[in-house]
Amino acid sequence: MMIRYFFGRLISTIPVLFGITLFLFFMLRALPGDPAQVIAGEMATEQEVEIIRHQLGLDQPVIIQYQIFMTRLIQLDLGTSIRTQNPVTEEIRPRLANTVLLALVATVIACLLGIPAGIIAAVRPYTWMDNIVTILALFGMSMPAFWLGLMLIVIFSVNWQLLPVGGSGGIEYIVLPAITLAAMLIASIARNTRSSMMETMSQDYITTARAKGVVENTIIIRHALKNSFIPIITVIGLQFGALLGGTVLTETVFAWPGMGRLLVSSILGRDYPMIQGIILVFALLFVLTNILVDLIYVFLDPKVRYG
Amino acid sequence: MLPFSGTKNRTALLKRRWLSLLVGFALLFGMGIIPGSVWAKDIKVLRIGIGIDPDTLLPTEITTAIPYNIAKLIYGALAKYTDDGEMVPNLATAWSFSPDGKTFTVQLRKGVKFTDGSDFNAHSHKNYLELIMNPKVRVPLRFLFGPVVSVDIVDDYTVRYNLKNAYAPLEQMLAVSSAMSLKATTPWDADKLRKHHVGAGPYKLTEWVRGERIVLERNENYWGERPTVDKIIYMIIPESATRVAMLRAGQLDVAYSPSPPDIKSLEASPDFKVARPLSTRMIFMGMNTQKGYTKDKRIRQALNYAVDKQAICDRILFGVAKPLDAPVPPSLFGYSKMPNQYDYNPDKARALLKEAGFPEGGEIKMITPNGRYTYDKQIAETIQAYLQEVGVKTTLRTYDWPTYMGMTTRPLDKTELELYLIGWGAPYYDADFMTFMYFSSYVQPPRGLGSTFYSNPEFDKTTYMARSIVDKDKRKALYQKATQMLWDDAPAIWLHVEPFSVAFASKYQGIRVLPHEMCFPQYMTVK
Repeated sequence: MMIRYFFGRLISTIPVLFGITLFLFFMLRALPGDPAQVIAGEMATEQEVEIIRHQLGLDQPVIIQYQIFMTRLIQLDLGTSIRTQNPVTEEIRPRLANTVLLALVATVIACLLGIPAGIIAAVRPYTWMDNIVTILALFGMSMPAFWLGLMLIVIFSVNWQLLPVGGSGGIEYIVLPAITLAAMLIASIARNTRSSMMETMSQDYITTARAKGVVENTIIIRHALKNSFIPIITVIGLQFGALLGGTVLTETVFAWPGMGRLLVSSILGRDYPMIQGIILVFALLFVLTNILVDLIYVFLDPKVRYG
Repeated sequence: MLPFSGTKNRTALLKRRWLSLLVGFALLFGMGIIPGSVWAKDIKVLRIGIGIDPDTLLPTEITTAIPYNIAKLIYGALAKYTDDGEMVPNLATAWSFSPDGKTFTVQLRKGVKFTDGSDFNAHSHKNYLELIMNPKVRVPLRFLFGPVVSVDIVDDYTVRYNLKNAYAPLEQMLAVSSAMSLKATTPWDADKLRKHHVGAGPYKLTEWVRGERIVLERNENYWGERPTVDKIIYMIIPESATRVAMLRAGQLDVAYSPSPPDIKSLEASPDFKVARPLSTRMIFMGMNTQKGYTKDKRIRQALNYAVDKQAICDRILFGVAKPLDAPVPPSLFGYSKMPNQYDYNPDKARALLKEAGFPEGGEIKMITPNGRYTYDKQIAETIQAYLQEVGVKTTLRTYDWPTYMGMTTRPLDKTELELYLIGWGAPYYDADFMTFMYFSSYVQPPRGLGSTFYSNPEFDKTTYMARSIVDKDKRKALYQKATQMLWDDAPAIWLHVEPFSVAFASKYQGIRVLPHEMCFPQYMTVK
């Protein structure tokens, strides 16, 4: 039943992805800017640009180009990067792992910081603790990732020499980028935890548990929190898209070798196949995450059943 | 076992030994076997931060400075530049034009081998030039080789270029040319070569993790002076602030292109130095000389008087740039300072505008890229403010680079350009690149990039002649005449020359940073 549901969902994403590729393909080519010219550089003559355009197959009618693209896509071939002439899948693969890792660690950090903050705010509503959490949440949502990242670099890397500035390597390289990326998510999680918890805590069965003499902490953690998880998980699933978008800036600031950075340079270079490939992968990740969230509901709420 | 015995003779012997040691050292110094500073040590690993990941390191395909810089270390060059911009032999040992300038003979160095074991000689060089002339091979900068028609082999180490017409800048192309192995490029397979580079340079490419790093290791079979750096790691860090932070934190030894405020703060620290020669790139605001208000020379001159270029260099660029005093950067052959400068003079600007009949509330369109040149958007905004001061309203729009490029390459009937910010940098030290190649009628879009559509037959004639004769003094005189015409006609607001800056930790010495945006680290040592 669950497996059926999972595959059913997966199959229903195919038309979505198809629609994305169609839209993206034609929109990219409608934008100003010519990949052949970018490769040729600002000093090449029109003649050279034409030669390159022909070599890359960009002088063919758009419909033909789309046909070629779809034929390849069905065989799971995302085409060749216009700039590097390497297969798109080859360029994306190592970076995909890096971006997913960054997003996951950021999500974990956001949960570890956001959920307790939300709980504190919910358990002591309208007190100074609640206010602090709200203000910090607002701060986190409003701070530009770029600025926050550079500030963290200045404090922790340059001045205190505790963590490396950028690049990749051991676990110490992921700390600052993940914190920067987590900033906006912490805020959402904290606020959602707070409101969800407050709603749960006002339910009758909580009062019953208190009347029974259950320890307050047990009430908070075992009863209230578990039942409040659904909105929290929902928010994580929905915000995951924004998180992936956030990797673009964060990876640039920290020189983290992920897909976000690659997307930026591909857009600047009008590398159509690469842009299409990366966006498709992002879309797939987003869809998969939300399917996962739906599946987690089954464990959280026994009343939820699919199939 | 000493042949002597006794204390007295021992002292004499020891003295003799020290003396001979000293003489030995002196000899070794003299022969250059021990490098100049004995206290300087070789470097095992040098980490250099750069801002972009090269698309390709194949010399024939390269169009921008950083890939070109790295490719030079792998492939080698026919000639190289001294710090004063003079060309000296490298893989080519001698060269000369025929008196009519239609043939160019080059002598090649003997005994050089590529990393695949094949020889560097007239055959490999002829092959390289034929690849460049082959339309099936992607060579975006093919035009730099001008009217080369064919290449003859005179003997195993001498080639002769045959030209359709005389072309003086061809000599400079020796510094731009690389060496490619005949064996590796026959048959031509760009995909294979992109994965396996075969060169005659001081380094070999051993690792390239896309988006992360490029690793070069010393070529032990290099024909020239042994590099003192074993391994160079180019780390790809797109954000300049991050590069500087990594330099400060010790994660990098060298960082390319710090921003102007970072240059100042790094220089203020004893731990860092910044090498920043004025580059061959000049920044200017091109004006459409055929359409709109900028058609009138008086208006163009007025705009030049209206902008305080020194203030832009001092305040926006933190004093690291230098205003142009000629339409050609000072490092190029053919540069001469212009006798009359466009000093900041808003009154004169207003007078000229009035004389030309510029209407009250007249508006001019201005466009600028964003992030392509140092503080380009901020400079454009500042110019907008200066023009506003003298009564010229401008609408300013920014575009990303590919869009911007598309806009500046439209032909005259389709172009919407009025004022546009641009930087033009020469890959070699010859004024031809800045004059003929940007401002002559021959290079107007779509044929070239002369987007000011400046059309002056006298200028065309003079610059064409200047590139078609070989006599250096005659050429210099012609460029003096041509640049004065250009300066006076003002098809651009002449702004400034940017520096090419490279920051590094003070403990290093021996770094070579050159105006044509090259940095050569192979002979760096650490104190």
